[in-house]
Amino acid sequence: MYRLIISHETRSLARTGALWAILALLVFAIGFAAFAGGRAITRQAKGAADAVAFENGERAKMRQDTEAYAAEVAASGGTYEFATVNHVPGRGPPQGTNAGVVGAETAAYVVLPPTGLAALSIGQSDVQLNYLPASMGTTLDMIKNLETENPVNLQTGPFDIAFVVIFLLPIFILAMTYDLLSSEKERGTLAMILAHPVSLRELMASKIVARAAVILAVVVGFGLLALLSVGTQLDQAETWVRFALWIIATLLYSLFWFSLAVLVNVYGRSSATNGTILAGIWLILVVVVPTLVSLLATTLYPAPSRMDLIVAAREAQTAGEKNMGSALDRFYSEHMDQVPTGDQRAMDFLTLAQANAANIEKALLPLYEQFREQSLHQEGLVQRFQYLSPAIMMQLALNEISGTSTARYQDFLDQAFRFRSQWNDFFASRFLKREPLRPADYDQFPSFSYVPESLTTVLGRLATSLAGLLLVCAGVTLLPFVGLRRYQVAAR
Amino acid sequence: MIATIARKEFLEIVRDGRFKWTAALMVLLLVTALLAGWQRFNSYSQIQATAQGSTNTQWLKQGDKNPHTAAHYGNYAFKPLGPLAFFDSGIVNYAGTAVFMEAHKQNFAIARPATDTSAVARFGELNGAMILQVLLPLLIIFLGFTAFSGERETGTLRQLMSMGVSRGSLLWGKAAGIAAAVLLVVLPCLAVGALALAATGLQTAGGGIWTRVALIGGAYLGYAAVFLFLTLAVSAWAKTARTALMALVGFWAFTAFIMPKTAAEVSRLVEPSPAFGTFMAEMKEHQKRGIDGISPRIKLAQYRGELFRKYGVSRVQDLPVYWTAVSMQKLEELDHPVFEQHYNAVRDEYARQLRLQDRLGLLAPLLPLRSISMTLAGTDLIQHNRFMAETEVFRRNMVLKMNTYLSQAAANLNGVNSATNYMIANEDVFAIVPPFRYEPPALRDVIASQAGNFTLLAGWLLATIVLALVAVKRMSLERN
Amino acid sequence: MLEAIDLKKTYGDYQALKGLNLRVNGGDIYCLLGANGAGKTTTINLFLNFVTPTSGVARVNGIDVNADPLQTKRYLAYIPEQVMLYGNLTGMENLEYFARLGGHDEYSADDYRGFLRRVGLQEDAAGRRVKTYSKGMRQKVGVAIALAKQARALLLDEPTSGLDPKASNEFSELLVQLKSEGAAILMATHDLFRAKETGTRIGIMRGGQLVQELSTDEVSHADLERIYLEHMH
Repeated sequence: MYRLIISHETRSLARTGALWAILALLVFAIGFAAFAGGRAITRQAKGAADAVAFENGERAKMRQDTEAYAAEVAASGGTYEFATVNHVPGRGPPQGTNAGVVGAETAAYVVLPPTGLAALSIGQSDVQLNYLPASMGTTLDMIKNLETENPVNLQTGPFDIAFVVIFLLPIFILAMTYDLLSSEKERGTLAMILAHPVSLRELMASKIVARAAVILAVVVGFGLLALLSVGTQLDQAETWVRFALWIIATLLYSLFWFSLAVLVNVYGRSSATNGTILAGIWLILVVVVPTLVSLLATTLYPAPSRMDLIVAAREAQTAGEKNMGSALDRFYSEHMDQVPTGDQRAMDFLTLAQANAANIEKALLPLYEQFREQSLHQEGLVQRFQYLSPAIMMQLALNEISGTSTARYQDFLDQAFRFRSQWNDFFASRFLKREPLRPADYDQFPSFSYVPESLTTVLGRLATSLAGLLLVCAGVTLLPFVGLRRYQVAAR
Repeated sequence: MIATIARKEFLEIVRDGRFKWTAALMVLLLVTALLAGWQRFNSYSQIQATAQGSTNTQWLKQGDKNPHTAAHYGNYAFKPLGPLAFFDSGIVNYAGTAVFMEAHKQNFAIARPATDTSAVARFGELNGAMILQVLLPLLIIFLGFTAFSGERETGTLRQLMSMGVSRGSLLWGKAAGIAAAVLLVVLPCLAVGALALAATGLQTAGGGIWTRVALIGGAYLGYAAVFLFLTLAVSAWAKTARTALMALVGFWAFTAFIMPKTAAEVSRLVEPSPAFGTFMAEMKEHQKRGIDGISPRIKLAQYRGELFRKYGVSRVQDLPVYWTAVSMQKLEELDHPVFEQHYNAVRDEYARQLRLQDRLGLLAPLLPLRSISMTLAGTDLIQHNRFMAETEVFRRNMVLKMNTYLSQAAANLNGVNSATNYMIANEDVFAIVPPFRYEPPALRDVIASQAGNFTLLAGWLLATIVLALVAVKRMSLERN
Repeated sequence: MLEAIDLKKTYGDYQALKGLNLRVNGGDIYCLLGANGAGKTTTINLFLNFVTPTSGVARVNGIDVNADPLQTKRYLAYIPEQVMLYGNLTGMENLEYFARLGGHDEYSADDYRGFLRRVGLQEDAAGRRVKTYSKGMRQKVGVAIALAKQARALLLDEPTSGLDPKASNEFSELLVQLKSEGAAILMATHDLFRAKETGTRIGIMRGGQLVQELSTDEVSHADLERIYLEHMH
């Protein structure tokens, strides 16, 4: 019986223009989103690669200078010395021998590698840069978080597959199902069908299955195509585990909207009323509740203003400077090439600059903590309130699956900060001991290698959102079966 | 006649269950949004003013030091907002609120509030503009889609026409009735908004607060009218109420959600902007290479040669000007064209992207409205770009003043270029750099920049009125 | 075949059916007469389980409709005032769908064509989409569905209202044919003339009650009209 109704429904649907229009739009939206997402990730990757290449190039040049110098020293039989600050190209030890200069003037970019599915859900990755410069400055210098992206576009948000799934897919699903029973009732065919040995439940389930099969086949099929065309790391099992999770989340989310349409249809109102109710519910769940939750999060746990952070940093800087050697040193600390040959006092400037940076860092630590704390509070609140809207759960799930979640970024930041202090210690210790950097030392520079989170950690964070989706889904799916008993086929 | 129809329409809507629910939700959200926006704006303004004051003081009280070192210490500019930002925060959360102005470097704005919010923030911010741009059209659609289609289904349309009512007056009557119902919901909320506005003290940089309010109000009224007449047109054209609803909700989703993102992606495609890493690498390379392929180091040597010839000397020590100061200023100036080229290119790209998105307003009335609203609220891209340009003017002036002071002060000493010859400047010297003050564009220019968008919106209004008139004239009275 | 025992249906305070007792056997055409709101359609809806009875039992082939609605529907065919079909499907496709819903998977395309020929649908119409059909053509497809389903009881709700006299006559002939094959037919109608011509028994309803039952061969047409009007006053 199910098969009969399903094949009949499919045939009827295939003959209506609406289905084809909806599928065409859906396919076009997925294609466009994949293309746009792919471009965004490529652009990000190029930005990271260019930044890394530039800094590596700077260090390579310094290394070349030290190699030339080493050869010169070896030829002349002199000693390999530490660079004085007044460096004249081609004469004496080059700047590349000075650990303080190399560590402060070049940066090592730490990069958070995107997952294979990053192009499918841009998440926060367009405002939280995935490559950060580690140098001997302060942490503040590291997280200035710049991005040369049009703020209008950032405000609008990306047209990625997550947008298609979260915003558009429900609209398409509701457009195909809002009149599931009401249209048959209005046309009079419902009575014709139910005069046969068919239960309302069978009819409803078959109708939903027919529609869901078509839509989900398209979403999953074209989702796969999108992954194959703009996804990366396709040879890794993890990518496919993530894609499997993507499919599960998408199916659950879709099921929610299908069930919702059934639920509304069970009350037996007219198609126009069902349409109004469903459009209203869509608006509330996808737009109103998420913006309200966001408002709640930022009102209850406002992040400290970064303006305050800047002022505090400067306060610490001034305080540090006032304790710092002479005004001359201060000037030289900014302008090494201006120091007259033989002025040994100027050699202390980097030591002082070091101390100063450490002072600023120390003063800012509590403020960073505050940022972190508020961010954790906000995230916690969102985690708790996500159950109010499947759209929030879905957004969190997709970000997690695509590796663009706040938690993954926070973990990356922790690793990046640790690396910064490692980088800092490496150069500071050599500089303070006035050990000249030799060409071979360039191979010993700390290098950042991102330690990926285990899949278990990711699954652990994902579990709440997926479980929530499952629960809401189950609830909304079961309710209609209760309500169906009261369905009135015949009007009074 | 029109008044009679309008009254009936109004009563019918207000007595409908749909109205009660949607109106209640709308009032709740709008009032929440306006109050939240007001709170947000107040706290932002306070922090901004305090921070700007503090950094200005920090500049003066940075301690006695060499004036060029002071230029390195630099200053910060914090972006101020006009009071209408409480209604439309525009790009404020994504554009950066602080600019570090220091010697040798032009910088992007940092401290973007968006980096400190959770992922849900990307669903959008609940503010007055968002509600009127996104929710208001849906309210109009909900209240109006049955205007003709519903009456046709119940058969009252035939009855009505048999009474000799002209189709034109039917349209205007219904439009007036629905508009009255919508205003009944929105006006009280806007009164709350006006109170909030009055509470902010009505100070606005750039002036003309009430002109701005009037223009924004007019734009939103026009936008709402576009949806009103479109709803009536579709209601008259569609065979059934549900077809009308589907078509209208489809268009609404298209204009409110699909088009802004599509327009953004299209503009990115047509006018791509480099990623931060790419931008920085390219600019720094260009800086080292020199604007015209001659490196600053060579140019500096040439400049030194010029000075040697000019003063007939052959050693820096013998120059009558303080070489350290003039060379630093020279280097600074050599970078200016490079900065201009790269930073301006990015800013121009943004502006071109925005223009393209505005033009796509031909397909979605939200796009021109969004620009008008942001621009008049002073939270838009053009004014952000202007702010950035002003910080660069300030930066150059600050560095020039410090370098000039350094070279002039040195000139009064014997042995201008001797090894121990360095200057210490104090608070009085730092005070020759006037504190940063952002001068927003004149209201006239702001309005002029939106002429195209106002035209687009007016075009939409005209087109939908004509559409509604034609649809009503051709409207069938029969169910099939 | 169709049996109503003390069937009651109330909506709030309103009593739509006040204890109906009715029996239609195979080979009977039972015509329900009565004004709008007399309870005719409610009766049919109760046999179809479209509404649940407040009390009493409706039985089809001896089975309680409320207890096992799917089983009872195997024996039933329903032809409403407007036989509603899927406009985008052809007559053949509609027939096939409904026949198979009724549990008959055994027919071939020729069989379906045969059913449609039997009910008098033009050959070329069978392959056309139903949205091009006239009302008479739809009613014929309705009867074809009943034939294909091999229904042992037919429930007809004003099936001929709005049909032109010729179509109405053809429809009545089909009913007589079905009756002679042993089907039990319950038809709600306003058409006294058709009721007398094709019906075997007549029940007159008023205010949710069956007020009189007669055999059509016992009364003349004029008597029937007089009796009907008497009850209506």
